[in-house]
Amino acid sequence: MFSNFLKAAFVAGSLMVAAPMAAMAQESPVALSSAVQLVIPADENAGTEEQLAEASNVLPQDLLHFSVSYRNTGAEAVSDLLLINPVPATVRVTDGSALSTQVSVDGGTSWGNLSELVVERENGETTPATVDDITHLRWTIALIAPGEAGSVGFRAVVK
Amino acid sequence: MNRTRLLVGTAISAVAGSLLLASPALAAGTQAGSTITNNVTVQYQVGGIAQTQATASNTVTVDRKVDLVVARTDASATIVTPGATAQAVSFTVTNTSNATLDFQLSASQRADGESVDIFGNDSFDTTGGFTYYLDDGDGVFDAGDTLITHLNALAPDSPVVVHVVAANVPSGLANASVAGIILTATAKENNNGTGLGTDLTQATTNTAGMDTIFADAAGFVDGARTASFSAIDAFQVFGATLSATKSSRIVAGDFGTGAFIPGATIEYCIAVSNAAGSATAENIVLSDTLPSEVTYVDAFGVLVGGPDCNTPGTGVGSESAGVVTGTVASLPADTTQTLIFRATIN
Repeated sequence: MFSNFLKAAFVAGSLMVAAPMAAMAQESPVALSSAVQLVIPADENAGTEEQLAEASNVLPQDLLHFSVSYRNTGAEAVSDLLLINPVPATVRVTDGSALSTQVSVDGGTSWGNLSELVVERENGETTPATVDDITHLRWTIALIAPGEAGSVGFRAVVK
Repeated sequence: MNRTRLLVGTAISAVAGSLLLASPALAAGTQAGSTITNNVTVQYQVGGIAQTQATASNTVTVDRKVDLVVARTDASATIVTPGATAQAVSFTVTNTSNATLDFQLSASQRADGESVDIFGNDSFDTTGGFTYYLDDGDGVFDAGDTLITHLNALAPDSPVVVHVVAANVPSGLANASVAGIILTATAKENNNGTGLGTDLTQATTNTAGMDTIFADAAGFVDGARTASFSAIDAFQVFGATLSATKSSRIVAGDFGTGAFIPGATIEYCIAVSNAAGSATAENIVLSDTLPSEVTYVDAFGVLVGGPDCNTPGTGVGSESAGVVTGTVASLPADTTQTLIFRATIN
């Protein structure tokens, strides 16, 4: 069973959406949705608050809000929820978002707070990782009771 | 239980997912038309059994920002002499859009009396129109540059130097005269090398796909958000300002020096001066036709290069059939040189 399971994880990857595992033919108890929205900054002159808008008009340097919402639609509690979010190559995670959760700078192999991570540069030097180096972010949620919902997210600037 | 090993498998698939999104990151920004999709992988346990699933977000398309900068390559005018041909002023053109575009080039004269930025006011126009040359990398207008009509398929963030070449500088211009030359570059659709592309059209509504948005600042004569940018450079006249005077005096005669009578010897002096603040004049040929009433004194010769009429120079001129000739090789600003010869009154 284990080998089948591992194979399924490899094949399914991130390309298949909510694929139920063959080994456990049951409805997924976690409903997920993710979105990318454009952050329209607050304008003091116009007196408007910051808004999230449909990202139909996106240019380099624009700030995007990436979010993932989850809900436990099953009858049992879900535990140890781990959300792994690769950062698209065309965006740079904001400083604030980078500090808010654990990140990876090596494609998701090792994780930690950004300040603890280092990167080996092309010239051979090893230097502290910066937001430019972030490849993934992850969040962990210990327990989601039946019917409980929440969301996580981060912000990033279009390069 | 087997969670650690499961993590490895998921990490690999997550890397593959982000590679699909890879596109070159440029200072001018992500390429227009690039899509940004958020893929998230989730692992959790239900009743102690590990499960995994993935989700993908809506896709965001990066719009096309049209932006460009034109600037003169340096803060000094191109020095020209009156009557010169094929003189160049040089500009850099930088495509700061997030897409490869064609650029129309259009040079024009600044009107007389109008400001030429740091170079003062315009006081003359060049004639014969303009041609455009793409620099070969040395930043100097020379034989290695390529004649062009427009900039073809200019990639983002790769500045090029364009030499705007004026056909003719009029003659008879005063020193420090200024001609302002404005270069306006206008972004056009990338036509993939088959001539200049068509006009860009700015999106009137935002769509989910790639829209075109003009983001350029105002240039020297163009407004902001026009897909155009202009800058001004200048030609400045710096020529020699020559003047010549001819004088004569009696140096020997029967009745002492001073009487212009037959048999007396006259010393002629032609003094040529270059005014202060002028360019050094070179190879100035001086010639003088003797009146028929005098005869050239071959024994004295033609002495060139002295600083004044009382100090004959060491250079040597010549006389032939009553015409005296001498050459001043170099005459810097604010200096005088003389050509001295003698003749006797018949």
